[in-house]
Amino acid sequence: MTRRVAWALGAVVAVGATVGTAALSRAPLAAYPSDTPILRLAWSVRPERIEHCRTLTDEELADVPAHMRQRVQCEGRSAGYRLVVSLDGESRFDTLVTGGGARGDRPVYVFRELDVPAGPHRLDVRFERQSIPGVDSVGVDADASLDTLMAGRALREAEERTRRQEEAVPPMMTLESDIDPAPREVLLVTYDIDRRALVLRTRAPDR
Amino acid sequence: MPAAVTAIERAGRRALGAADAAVNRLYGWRYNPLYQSGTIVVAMFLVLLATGLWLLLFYRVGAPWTSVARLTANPWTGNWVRGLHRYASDAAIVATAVHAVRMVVQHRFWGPRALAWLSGIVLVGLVLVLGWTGYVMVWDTFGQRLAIEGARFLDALPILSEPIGRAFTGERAIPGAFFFLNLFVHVALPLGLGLVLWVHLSRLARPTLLPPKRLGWTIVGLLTAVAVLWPLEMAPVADPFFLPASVPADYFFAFWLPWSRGVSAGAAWLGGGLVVVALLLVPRFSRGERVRRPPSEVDEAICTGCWQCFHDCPYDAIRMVERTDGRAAHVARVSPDLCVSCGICAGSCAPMGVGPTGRTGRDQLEEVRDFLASADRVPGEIVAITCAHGALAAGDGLGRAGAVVYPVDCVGNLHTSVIELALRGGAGGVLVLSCPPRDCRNREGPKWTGERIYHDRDAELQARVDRRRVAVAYAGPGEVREAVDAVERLKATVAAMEVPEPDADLDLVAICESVAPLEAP
Repeated sequence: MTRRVAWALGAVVAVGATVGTAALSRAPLAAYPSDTPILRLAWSVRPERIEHCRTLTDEELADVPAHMRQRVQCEGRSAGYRLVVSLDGESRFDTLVTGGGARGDRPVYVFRELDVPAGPHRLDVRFERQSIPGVDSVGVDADASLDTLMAGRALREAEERTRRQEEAVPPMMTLESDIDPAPREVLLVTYDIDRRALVLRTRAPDR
Repeated sequence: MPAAVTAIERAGRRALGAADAAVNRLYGWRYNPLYQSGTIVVAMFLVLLATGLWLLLFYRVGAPWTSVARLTANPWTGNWVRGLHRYASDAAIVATAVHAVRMVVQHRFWGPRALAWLSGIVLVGLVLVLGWTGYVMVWDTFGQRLAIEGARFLDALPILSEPIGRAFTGERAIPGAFFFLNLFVHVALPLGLGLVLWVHLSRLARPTLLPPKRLGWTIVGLLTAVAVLWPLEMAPVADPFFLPASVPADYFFAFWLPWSRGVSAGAAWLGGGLVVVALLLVPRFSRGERVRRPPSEVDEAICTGCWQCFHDCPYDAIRMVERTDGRAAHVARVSPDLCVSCGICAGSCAPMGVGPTGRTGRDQLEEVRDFLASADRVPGEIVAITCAHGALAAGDGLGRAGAVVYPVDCVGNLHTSVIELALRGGAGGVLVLSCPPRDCRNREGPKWTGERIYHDRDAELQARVDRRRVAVAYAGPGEVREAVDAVERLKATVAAMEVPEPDADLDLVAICESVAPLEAP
């Protein structure tokens, strides 16, 4: 091979390798081969805390180390929720969701994508708190007026429990809607924290 | 080691040798990019830093796609810089792959070199994460795809209380904090990359960081040209409410994306983890039945404390310490953990007091004396001293060209007295056939050998040796023709000279002492 031929061949190989690199850097990738629309269920909510509370007597409090004394003692757990999705009256998804974390007391996170045929349908989504045998009663028999020993602590705890209760997701939410998804469209069912209800969204909120 | 692995390695060596030879014919060994794979990665890293800093000036975490789209629409100071940034990262991936294959095929990744292999794997991981964050920054359909898949994998790990994937469902606008964090990682990771690169090179005495200027600028020029002539186009903005049929993907970084949707996150972690563990353990298992060769040793009675082996060792495996035997000079000490048994110190030691067992200068002289004493030797013939990793593969061709092959482990290991002894033993000429300098398994063998023969570097070829009878040529394992051509050239030179008379008395002790008389303690 003469020097000139080698140079020309070398140039062709170098250009070819560079163009090949650029081509592989912008090659089309089949992201979603199917045209089928998707119903996306995505929300995160604080589960309801189901607990049974009682007021300790002064004698019982005296048995507790000073730094652990609470006038009102509660026991319970975070609720689980049944999520049912129906399309045109036919159940498409039915599952029990619980809070995250080892004790299940972290927020409940729902993320599920379902294929939905394009065209008009009747959508029904239900998110319902499940009963917990033995502790499924929300009750506080605490009497804040007894709180002479704890300098208002029982009152503050009661307020905290109330606040948590209000922040928690409602025990029952439903969404019934007529939908008409186009091919490749994504319909989103999510939780609107202001309305405290499930809502359907079909396009991105303004950023 | 299973025979299959050995066969694969042999096939790999053959393929690499052929590829090297073909590219050498096009560009010459000096500019062969296959030899420069590691330095090309560093050069691309510098290009990425320069272009990345420029792009950073225009990027807005509050409007990622819009700011990149504005930049892409600018053909003068935006589009081609972005294109160069992208293509340089791709070239870095290609060069990294070539570099890794070379190291495996050439067995340059275990023993004292294992740290470089392990840090190299970490570097690859960092580069892939860097690419991932870079494409997510753009927040087009490709970036969204990467983000969703990445979040799916990360959410499978029980480390975050709130799933990352929630950010991309469309239930709320993507928080600016996400793009800020992504940008921070993209900018901070190169610092970590630099640190790991330092570890990667830490065992080398004189690491070569950049390719030859002509090669480096040619690569940058080609990438720039393709970035200018084939401008990047902006993919549509990420939209959580639409499923694009296809996205423009960079397969160098997203090679896993076509298969990821069909794999659960757990399976992906398991598979990826197994691959990484296997790669990390390659140095451990691939050694197989190969016995690690003994490190160099120093004969302290012979060592004159000249520091030459200390200067020549490519792996900083030799240090000089005070003598304890009453002599004033220092003495060399070898760190066995750092020594790869390349034997370069044996070639550097004039009095032949250092080197791996069986390959010291004195061992080499005994070997070549036995070689010359063979009944097959013909006065005036050409002796081709060939590197076992390189031109030895051309042995048959050399034989047909009329040369007798004398293999050595590495020409950097070769003591110049061997050349002198061969000529005094009746050889008409000695051809030192070395691997191309950038492909020496021991990094600096050809460099030091050339200096020892032609530039009086210790242990230099003695002035009394007729240089016309000595030649140095470079030929890789696939370059039979080049090796034969070198033999023919030396033959032609020697043909015009007298046939030498073999020296009847090859007294090795006299040769050794004539090189460097020992100083009495």
